[in-house]
Amino acid sequence: MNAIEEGTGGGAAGSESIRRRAGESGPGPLVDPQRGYRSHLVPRTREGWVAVVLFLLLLALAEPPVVYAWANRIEPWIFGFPFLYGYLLAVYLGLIGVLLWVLRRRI
Amino acid sequence: MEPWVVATSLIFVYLLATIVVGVVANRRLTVDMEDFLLYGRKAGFVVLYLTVVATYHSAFAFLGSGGYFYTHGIGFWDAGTWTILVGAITYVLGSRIWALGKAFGYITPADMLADFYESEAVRVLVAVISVLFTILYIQVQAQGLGYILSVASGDRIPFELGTLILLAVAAGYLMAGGLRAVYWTDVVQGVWMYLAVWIGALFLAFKLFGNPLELWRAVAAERPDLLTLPGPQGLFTPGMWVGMGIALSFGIVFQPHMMIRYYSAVDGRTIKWLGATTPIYLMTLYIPAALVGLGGALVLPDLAIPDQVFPELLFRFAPAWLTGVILAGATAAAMSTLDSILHSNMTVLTRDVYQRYVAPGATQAHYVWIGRLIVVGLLGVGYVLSVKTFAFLVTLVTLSGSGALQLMPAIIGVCFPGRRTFTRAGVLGGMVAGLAVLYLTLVPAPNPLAGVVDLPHPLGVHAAVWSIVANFAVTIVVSRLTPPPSAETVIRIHGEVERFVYGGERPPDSGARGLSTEGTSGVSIVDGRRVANGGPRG
Repeated sequence: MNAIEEGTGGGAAGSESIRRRAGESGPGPLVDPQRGYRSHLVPRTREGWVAVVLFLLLLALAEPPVVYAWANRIEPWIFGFPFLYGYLLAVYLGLIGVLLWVLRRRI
Repeated sequence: MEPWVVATSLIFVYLLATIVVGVVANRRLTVDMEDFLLYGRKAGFVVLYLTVVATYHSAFAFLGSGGYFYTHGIGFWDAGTWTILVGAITYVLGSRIWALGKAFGYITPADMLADFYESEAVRVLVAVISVLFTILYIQVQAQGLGYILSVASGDRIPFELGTLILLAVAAGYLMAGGLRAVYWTDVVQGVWMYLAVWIGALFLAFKLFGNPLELWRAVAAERPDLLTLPGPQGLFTPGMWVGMGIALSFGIVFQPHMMIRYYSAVDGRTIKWLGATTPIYLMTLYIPAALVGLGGALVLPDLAIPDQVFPELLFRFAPAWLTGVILAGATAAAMSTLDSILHSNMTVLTRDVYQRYVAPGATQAHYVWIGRLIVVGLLGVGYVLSVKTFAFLVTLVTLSGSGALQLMPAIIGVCFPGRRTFTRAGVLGGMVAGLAVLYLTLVPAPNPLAGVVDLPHPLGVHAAVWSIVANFAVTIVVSRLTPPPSAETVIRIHGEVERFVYGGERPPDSGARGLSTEGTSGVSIVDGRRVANGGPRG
């Protein structure tokens, strides 16, 4: 059920009032009285998509099956660390790098 | 000077420092709930950073993590994943939780969920989950503290007395200075424990192996089974790897003492800075833990209790002063988590139980004093749980790791607007289903599934995964069949999230539903009545 669809005239008028003002930049109306809010689970900007895809890709590199198949070994050594440990350390640093980039870009 | 004198004295010097901090915090205290429970919503980046990391890493960071590397090998390096996820969750979700708390005067997790889902049943269930599954952490940390003090003193200070002393100190500065005392002591604790773990691990690596890289070479030569998955005892299966990542990221963030930190921030940008930078501390703390655990597996291969590998190595190979400094760091780690859990339990019991159902409409000073009395009660409960053995406690401790995880669908429903909303019946059903599945997949006995499937963690999949899948499934299905929150509430709360994240004007008639704390949106609800901020509250 959609709470916005159920709204009274006051509800619809209320939802109208939180649409963006004319000329204000942004990816479309905030809310459609007929269909509810646009989902917050989906990025609305190009940078948002880049951040999410990059983070999930790196996260996948630290999860099965990659970790258990290709990365699950001791050699070759990476900067003096056994391969699995060094590989994961590099992935973790990459993930932190994405978070810092997101912060810097104010995404 | 005897080593035990040095070690014990350093721990007591540290305790004295925390008491002084508590006294100073008391002098700055404003006697109202928002200051006592939420630091006046003014926590800046440095304070918030160190309290979050200090609270997240408990006695487990010193004792348990080394023990895991010692027993199960490199699989525990999965910890990097969940610590970084904590940062990402903080950035995306924590900032929204902050925004809603600021707008509507929320103090506890139940405040937010009960407001959106328009349900006192949700408030009660969330409060029960919040307290029940974290009160056991009081026991765990208190036991860790008692152990540390008895080890440091060479058993001259018995476990029970050590536990009582350290519980009393933590409860004392909390009662004196509220969350301000907790945060300020966490600043000291956060720095001390990080330096202590790194210094201790590097000292041992250099002393016992020549340098840390030679330690890795030695482990590869003598115990290669510790450097690959699933580890010597086969614990780290793919299902466990993923499940621990979920349980120890979302499951920790949704615990009340972590969510309260989001509410207490001075602004949303501080939360985002927190999200992006806390993983640096959280993840890197496990680097020295790996050195301790894996190196200890070679040097002390027959430890009866692997969790004791770090203190055992220190006592055998480190000078007394260094051992004392590091054990004081371990004390700091345990107390930083203990005081946060005492505070969050006090907050939930004061706000969600006492103020809501026992004495609504009392003065702010009254609630502050009730909170202090509750801390005394929690001190007693924590001490009894620490020194007595109850069979049900084992079950409860087992469940507590993923208990708070069951709040996930409900919280996501509030913080992520979309075409559809979850409903009161949906989230209640989901939480109950999740808790039931958690029990069935985690507790060996009594359990109707015992003998039917391997327990715990059937099919090698962590119980957290089973439970959260069940929770989401029930939440989604039941939400489709039951009425949603009112349009007014959805527009007010989801509109606030929309405004915070994407900008725009505030929805009309954005009434706050804080109990005796004023939201910034102009209206609060006091004792069930809407009151304009600044209006009569009698």
